[in-house]
Amino acid sequence: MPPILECDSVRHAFGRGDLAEEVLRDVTVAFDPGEACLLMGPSGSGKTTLLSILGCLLTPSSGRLRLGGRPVDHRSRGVLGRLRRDRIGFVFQHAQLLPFLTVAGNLEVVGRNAGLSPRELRGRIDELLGRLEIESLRAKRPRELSGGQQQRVAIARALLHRPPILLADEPTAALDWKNGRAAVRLLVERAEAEGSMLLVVSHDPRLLPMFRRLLVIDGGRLREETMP
Amino acid sequence: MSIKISAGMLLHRKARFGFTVLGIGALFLLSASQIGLLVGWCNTISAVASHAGVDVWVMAEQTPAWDYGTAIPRNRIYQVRNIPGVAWAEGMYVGWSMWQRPDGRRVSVAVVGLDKGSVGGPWDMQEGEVDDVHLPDSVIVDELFLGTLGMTGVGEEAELYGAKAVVRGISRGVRTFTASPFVFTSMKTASKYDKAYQRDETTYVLVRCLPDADPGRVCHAIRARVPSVEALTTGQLIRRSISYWMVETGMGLTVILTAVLGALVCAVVTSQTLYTITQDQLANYATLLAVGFARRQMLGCVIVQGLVLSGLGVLIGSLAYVGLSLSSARTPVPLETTPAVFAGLVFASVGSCLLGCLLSVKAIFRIDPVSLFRA
Repeated sequence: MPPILECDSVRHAFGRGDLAEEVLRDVTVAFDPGEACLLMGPSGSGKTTLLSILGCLLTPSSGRLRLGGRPVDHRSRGVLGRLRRDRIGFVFQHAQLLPFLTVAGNLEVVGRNAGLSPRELRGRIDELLGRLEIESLRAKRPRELSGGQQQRVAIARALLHRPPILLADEPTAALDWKNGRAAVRLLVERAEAEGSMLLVVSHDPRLLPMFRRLLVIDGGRLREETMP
Repeated sequence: MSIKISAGMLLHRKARFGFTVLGIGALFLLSASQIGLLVGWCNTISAVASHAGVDVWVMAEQTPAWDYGTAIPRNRIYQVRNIPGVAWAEGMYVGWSMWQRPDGRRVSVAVVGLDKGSVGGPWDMQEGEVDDVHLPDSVIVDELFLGTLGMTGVGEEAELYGAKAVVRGISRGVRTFTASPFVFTSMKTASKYDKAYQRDETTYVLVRCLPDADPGRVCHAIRARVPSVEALTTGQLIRRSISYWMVETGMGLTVILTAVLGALVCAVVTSQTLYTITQDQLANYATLLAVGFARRQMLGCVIVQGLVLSGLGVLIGSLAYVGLSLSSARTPVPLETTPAVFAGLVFASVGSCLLGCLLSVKAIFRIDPVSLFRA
């Protein structure tokens, strides 16, 4: 079975010519289905750039990205959009919920866009809100929720269409430790339950015990670390 | 789905949404009332000519508009009657006089003298008959101008240049464009009211053609065989009169300019509001892009927002216009329109609002979803 996500000799630079700043250097890495990885590194080391490339949001300067063994065609915005819609779930540092929709509305628009039938969508929303223990919040708007509750809704949104790839960028940064840990634990549990590959970017070493694999990036170079 | 997101974004700040819709409505009302005024004026300018029910008008050369006819010899009527294709011809006098109200005040009026057939007379008679103009010293005035003329009803008397005038009939909706109310009378009586008018003169010769005759050809034949006159079909006379008042005097251009300005400001208001909404929602658009929405869906959102804003604005403006139009129906300056003109105005307003979406579309294309990771 091919890796669910892999990048091969990926380089990325911002700017051109003499002003070009290389932020990723020869990054080669592969992720298997159901794998939960933690990506750590100092600020400016290239974590966000790598996450953006893995999430098909950014086209690398060179190198290849494969999803399920198939090369990603970065030339087509439509293809990239469909990949994000169908195969990737994102959890951002800030929940980034649509403020004008209710919790259920936030989930519905994403689920419908992913092509879920109304019945299927209702079932999944009920199930996720129940498992994430936020069922009572379904009619509330994001401004009525705490940071932790918002992040749970964001996790539900990322999991709704059961993507094989889950990418989370500093999901604990906007939360206190208790809520942050709970959010990451939830992500790991749900990813394992769904068989999704999970990559979490974080500065926080306290999260290490929740993961089986640790990747460290520094100066644009990625290396695998053994778990302590 | 785009509709749900579009509506959410629009209604997220209800006050802004409400003020924008009201603003667009007010601007539409401004444009619609200007165009309504223009249509009303055009109808007023052409009213007597179009209600006369004749095919051809014979007049002095270089007559600029129906209101400003110059006297021609009355024998032109007989000459015209001999032209092939002419079934019937009569005269009509149009001139100016001074109406002296019972309280002594004087009002400038347009005197219309009707020939024996009373053709070209007032319509929608509320009291009396059009043929009453042939009674001695008889005049017909419109109910819109009774107050201006100092009259209250039939049987009252006034003076025109010292000659007695008795109101024998009252019409409805016979407006004047020159601000001088029409006073309909017979050609015979008209000579007493306008000292410049001689009894052997007429201003127009009104012509009805034979059923198989082409009015254009009859005009051509009249011009060729009757000296020093011009012959126009009713349509040509109406267009010339409208062109004189609307174009040559510049009045119409001013009104059109205001209407266009209204539509332009409409576009600017919509553009500015949509751009502000788009800027406010950039992070949300970026989120949607990141989770797999296509840019065309976001463009759909902006277009739906433009349509909702302009649609509601135009609806409110239209309702206000209908109210304004109804209340102006019994005034000397009515706001009128035709279905085609109104549809064109709606189309232009909604179209200009959609053009206003372009700035927002540009912003959508610049959204970088990677920005979400840098938040």
